[in-house]
Amino acid sequence: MIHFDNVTNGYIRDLEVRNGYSRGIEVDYPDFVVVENVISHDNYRNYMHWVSPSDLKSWDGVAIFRNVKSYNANNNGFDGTSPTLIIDGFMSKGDGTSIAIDGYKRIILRNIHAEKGINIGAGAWTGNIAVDAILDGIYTNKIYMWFSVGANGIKISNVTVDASGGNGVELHIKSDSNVEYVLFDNVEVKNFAWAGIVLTRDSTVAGRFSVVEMTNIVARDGAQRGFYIYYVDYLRMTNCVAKGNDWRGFVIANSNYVEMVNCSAIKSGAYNQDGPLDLNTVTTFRAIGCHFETGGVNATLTSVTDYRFDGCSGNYPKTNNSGTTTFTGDGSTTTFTIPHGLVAQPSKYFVQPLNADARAYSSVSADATNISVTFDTAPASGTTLTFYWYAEV
Amino acid sequence: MSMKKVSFKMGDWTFNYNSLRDFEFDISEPHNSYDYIIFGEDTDRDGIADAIYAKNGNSGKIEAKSNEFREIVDYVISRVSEFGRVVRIRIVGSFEVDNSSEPVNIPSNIYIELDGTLIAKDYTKTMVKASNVSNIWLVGVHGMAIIVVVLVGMFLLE
Repeated sequence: MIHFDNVTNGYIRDLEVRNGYSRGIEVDYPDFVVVENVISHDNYRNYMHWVSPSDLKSWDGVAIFRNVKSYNANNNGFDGTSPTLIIDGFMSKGDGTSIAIDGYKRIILRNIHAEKGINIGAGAWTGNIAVDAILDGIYTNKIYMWFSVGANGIKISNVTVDASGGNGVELHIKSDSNVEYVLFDNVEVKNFAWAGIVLTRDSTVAGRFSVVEMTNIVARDGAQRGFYIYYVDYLRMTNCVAKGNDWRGFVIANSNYVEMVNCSAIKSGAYNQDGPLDLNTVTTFRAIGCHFETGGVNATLTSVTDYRFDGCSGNYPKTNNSGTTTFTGDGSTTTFTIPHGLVAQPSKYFVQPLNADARAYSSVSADATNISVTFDTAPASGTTLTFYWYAEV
Repeated sequence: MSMKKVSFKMGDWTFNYNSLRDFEFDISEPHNSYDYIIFGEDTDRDGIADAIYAKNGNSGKIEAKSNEFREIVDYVISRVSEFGRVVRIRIVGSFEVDNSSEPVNIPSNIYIELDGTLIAKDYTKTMVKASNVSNIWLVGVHGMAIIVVVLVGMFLLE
């Protein structure tokens, strides 16, 4: 209905635009345009900001949408292919998708209520420019960002995602270019069908997440995984909580350096049928002060070459363990086994007999599961054998 | 025959009609805060103005009158370039906009204040367009101005 095309210093304010066949307000090729205090509804698309993808690289105009409301768009509440876009104060209700952007150079979304999700793509057609995005102060049911080009920085903070299906927040690489810096801060994701926080890529591409910092994240009450993070060179998670997710707390794979500080995987209901922590193909892993509860399956490490858990509690993969175990002889058993609970075969271990009969053992050995204490002669039936033991990977 | 005067106020202005329904504008009103005021009469009381006027806010004179809003707004827009500065236009009332052949094209250096409703004649087409121009304000006042297409039809998927 209102179409600004290549406008320098344009302002649309305090209007209601409704029942249009196509776009309510469309801003194309802006040099500088502000749309403010506007309600657009019951149009096919309520707001559109467009620059031809082939021109995104060279076009440096800015559009600002501020304090605008969108509802009942047949398609997208906000639809854009935008060089530089600022949306500050956006309310979407009953739209097909609240915000759908498929190309940009830099984007700032702040103070957003997006009932039907935010879908932000960086398309390869944009001339392979690396993008920047800031998302701050958002309540929605989905955030999906995909990258067919590299990204300089992606910042996601102060966000609540009450998912209605699929993933809560997903960053998805679709090219060989890296997403350099991803910063999450103060994010709650809940009620997702698959995973809460997802970082992944297409199977046919080589792009990776270079540096990912996650702070103060809660992923809770999901049907499957709390965190599902792949292909990160450097990942540090601080104060991150996975609670009440049915399958797994944290899944981290194909990554290089992973550090978890003060993180928790907390059991609730059917939580953790597959364990609180699942690491697969991680070069270096450090967990400091973390807590891992399980609903039945312990944390698992597969192809993790260098790992360490310091000051952790719960069912985390132990690299050292100790205890006191008592057996009773039956006159025929010569070897008694002590489950050490470590993630791998210990390189150091010993047993210390705590009573006279126990001192008669002849040898001790260890494998990936047990410490085995062997006697040359089977202790007599009813004989008590008590050992203190220690093992370390 | 004596002339009977009827007055009414709309916003900040007073409008006078004589018994022959000819419009007279009170030149004493403080009307020059806008370069043009577009307003209308709803003679058939259907909620949409069908006698539309363009008043020069500086002289106080009615410069154009038509039963087509589009003719009036195009007339005012045609005068914008004469000012050499940002021209302030106020639109008061509810109007049907004939956008069936082309949208209302907004030139550079224009401030349009809308207190009322613009209704697109063809809801499938753009009603207001600003293309390759600069310094444009399209502003609603007195609560929420409305630009509306009343015909709610089937949306086509792109």
